[in-house]
Amino acid sequence: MIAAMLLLPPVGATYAGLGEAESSIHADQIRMGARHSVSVTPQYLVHDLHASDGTLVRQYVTANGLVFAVTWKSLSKPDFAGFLGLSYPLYAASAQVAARRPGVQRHFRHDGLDLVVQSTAHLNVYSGFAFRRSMLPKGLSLDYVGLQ
Amino acid sequence: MIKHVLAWVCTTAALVGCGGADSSTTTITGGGVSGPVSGQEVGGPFFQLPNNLSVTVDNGPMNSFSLGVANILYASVTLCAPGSQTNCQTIDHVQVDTGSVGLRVLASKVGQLGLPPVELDPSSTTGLTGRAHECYPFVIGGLWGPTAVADVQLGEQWAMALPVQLIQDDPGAAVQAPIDCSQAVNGQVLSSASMLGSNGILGIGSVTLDCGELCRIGNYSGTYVQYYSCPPNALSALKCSPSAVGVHQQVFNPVAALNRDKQGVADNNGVVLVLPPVTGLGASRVQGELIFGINTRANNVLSKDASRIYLGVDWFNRPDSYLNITTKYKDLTIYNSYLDTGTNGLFFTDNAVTRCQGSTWYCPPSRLQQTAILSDGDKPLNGSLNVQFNIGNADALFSTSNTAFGDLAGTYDPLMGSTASFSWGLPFFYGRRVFLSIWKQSGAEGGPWYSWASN
Repeated sequence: MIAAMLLLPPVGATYAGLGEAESSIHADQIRMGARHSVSVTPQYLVHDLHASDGTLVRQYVTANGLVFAVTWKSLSKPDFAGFLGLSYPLYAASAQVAARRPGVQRHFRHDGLDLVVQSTAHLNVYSGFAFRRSMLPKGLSLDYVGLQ
Repeated sequence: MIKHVLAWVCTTAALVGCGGADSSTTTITGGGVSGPVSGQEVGGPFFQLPNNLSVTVDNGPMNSFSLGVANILYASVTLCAPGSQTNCQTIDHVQVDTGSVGLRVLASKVGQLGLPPVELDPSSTTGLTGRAHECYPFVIGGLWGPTAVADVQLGEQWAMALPVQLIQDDPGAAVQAPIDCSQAVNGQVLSSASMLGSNGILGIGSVTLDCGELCRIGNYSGTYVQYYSCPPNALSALKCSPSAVGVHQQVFNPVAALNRDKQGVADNNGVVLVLPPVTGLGASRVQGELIFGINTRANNVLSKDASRIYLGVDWFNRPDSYLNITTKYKDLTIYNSYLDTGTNGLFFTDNAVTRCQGSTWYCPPSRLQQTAILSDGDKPLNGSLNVQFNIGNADALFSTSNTAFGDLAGTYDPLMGSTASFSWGLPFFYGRRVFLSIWKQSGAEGGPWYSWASN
């Protein structure tokens, strides 16, 4: 029983992610049990969280230290609350409405005034990206950072 | 009045299985719909052979056009109590889905069979005993329910003692989806034929397991929990715990599980899906066949000089092409691409094509003929095959009372933007014999692949 409890997300864990401070990425790293690496570009930092199972969560951080975009790739549905951070409730509400359509859905896109989330899955391979328009560094090409 | 009803129906049809529209901008449009034009039935007749299954595209499990189904491929599947060939139940309108793995049927359809639960092996990582339950999310929405063991009959073929999921469709059942699962499925547990658009899902995709290593070791860190262990007679999901499940107890690809017949032939290394062409404004019903096995019998031989398109298999080094192929369309090379009977249109983004008002389908003034080049996932432009396809006017297609549309295409992206994926849904399969192998089975040891010929 104790072993099973360890599989659950820690109660009261501080979720981190989109729109939040760079320092919050550490909580994600612990939650995923991931390797952490950082690369630097002139306009932003890229934090890679790479779990041993190959799951990759990539967080993009502006010069003023906020996560403005995140991408993911995993072999199981990732815990969106984990990396959408403060944007999660908006995503959750939008996805719940879209999920009312009958049938199997392989793609979801939310285009809000600020929040954009795109999520796909096929054969249990999940991938997608999310960003906050208001936080994008000026002149940044979304294609360039792999956000299309 | 009829006009009005049809307008609603057509909009619903536009939404089934699509998932493309922005939830905040999806609109129900009426007006301008002409009377129903019912196309002909195409394909068939179907002849039962030792290794095939009749498949159809029609108006769905409720035999009701009002569900608004479009381009959903169905088959009938028989489940029997293990060891019995008489205590059986045949379920119609199970969706044939090459984009997922595992047989999942509404629990109420097989309630009287008393299928034995999957009793979890106490020697698994967590040391728990109990009965396996599964949370099976889609990108949005998903399924909850216990898993069970059944002898499954597909045509004349059998998969004995196969772990399957029983989709919980009894609102009074004690063990409903746990909170983590409810979040995983975006608060939308699909638990009826009308919510599913089918009575179940026959997942026959390119791999054998519906989860694999993560569930074998019970590592759900950073993801939603997929498998739970619940004690017998649990009074609520609070008694269930996240659990590791051994690979032989995970929900398994029914085709990969097909047993050898009396002559020793095993048709379990993939499928050939054969569908007739569907042209113009579509068809009211499509009859086709799903052949089991590749190069195992006279009816599933792949020509020696046929090209094969290999799906990517290098997860750690090339995650973007993992279980994907490459599609080159116009000047774009797209790595997130696959064939999928569970997607009901061709989905890609082309800003040069007119979109329908109020939806994310394409509505060119007249039919467009396009070309794309499909090639390997890990080695783009290796083994490439040209594909010609049409983009029809979706509003015109949906103004009919048809259920099958060969020219149905849309975009997932409601804004004007570049594309990130190219999903070859059911329209791709019309008019073709499509070979889909299963990874690690005979002939696909190094990776799964697709091949096709015109039909």
